[in-house]
Amino acid sequence: MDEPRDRIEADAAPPGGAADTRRARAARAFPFAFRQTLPLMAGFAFCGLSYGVYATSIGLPPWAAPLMAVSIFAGSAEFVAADMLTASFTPLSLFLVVLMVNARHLFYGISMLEKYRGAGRKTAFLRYGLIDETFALCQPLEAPRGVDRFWVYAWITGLNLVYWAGFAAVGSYVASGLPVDLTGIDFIMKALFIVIFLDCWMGEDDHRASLIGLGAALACLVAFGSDGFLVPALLSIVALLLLLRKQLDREGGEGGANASSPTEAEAEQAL
Amino acid sequence: MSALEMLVMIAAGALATQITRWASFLAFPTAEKTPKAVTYLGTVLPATMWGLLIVYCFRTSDPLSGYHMAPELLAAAVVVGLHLWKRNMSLSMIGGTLVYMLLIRTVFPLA
Repeated sequence: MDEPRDRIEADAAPPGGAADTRRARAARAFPFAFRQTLPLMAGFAFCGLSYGVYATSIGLPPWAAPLMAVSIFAGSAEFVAADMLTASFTPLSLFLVVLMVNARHLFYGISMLEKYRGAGRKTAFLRYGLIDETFALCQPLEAPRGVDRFWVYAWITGLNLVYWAGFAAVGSYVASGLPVDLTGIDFIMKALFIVIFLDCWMGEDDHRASLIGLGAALACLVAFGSDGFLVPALLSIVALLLLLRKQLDREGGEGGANASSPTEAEAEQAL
Repeated sequence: MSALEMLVMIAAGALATQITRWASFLAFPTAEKTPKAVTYLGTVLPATMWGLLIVYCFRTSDPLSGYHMAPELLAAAVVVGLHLWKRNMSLSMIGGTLVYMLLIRTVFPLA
């Protein structure tokens, strides 16, 4: 498996025959992993509940939000997917928009390549669940001596999944049984993207990419109308970015150390 | 949309997400081996997406008729104001949404 460091960590573990069984390593890692996730729980509760209530308020069956939470498992993209489920059957558009909205995850993967190396059978689960919050927690994390870091990563990934899907389920099922007029609560999705846009805007020196997104989308909305603008907008954004590459690519195509390791703040801001 | 169509849509979204999470593992084993165009797009795409998604959210709002988007724009202004003031995501979202729900029940009732 991994280099000597792991053996040293194993040596430091409490002595005794049962100390290093799989179950014992898992159990030792859990409290540490759980403590790491606590600061994010309020955020998961708010976003998960909002998402669940939103999905129900726009007329989706209550199973849709939790199902998307475990299958798509990417907050912002799930809001868009929920919205698209209320319109016509367009799986290719949905595929394209989710792919582009989640493009940032590519860098989480690259950034975690070394850390996740040697995770064995946990690798697939860690990859599947590498959401913004999990990346933000695991990327800078150092497991204490005697604690199996792969179990810590796995617990953090799993706990975040449970929080997100759990709160989404509670939100959608509670809202579906609530005798309250929820008309207008779907504004929460507009509010979400305004907030993310603002955070992104305030964190960047160069606003051209943000403006390209906004401008191309507006132009396509005017040209194609509300039902058909999404795919042309996505394609024209990619086309514009490629056309303006010389101007926009400040890393000068060096592969960019900056590009391959997004900061924790960026990860959290991106939800 | 039927339940089956919904499941196909959800599967398409799940596949797209998993591609972004597995691409580095399967195709681009190191930052150096990732094609420059992919690295570049991955760097600039995220910023463009939030603007696109705002337009997407407001796509069915009509500035030329009805209340000329007054309730949406007022509530959006509340979101922006709260966020510039406190920088608290939950507060900005709850504040703006409550204002919107209040506006469409009082000043700008839906037809």
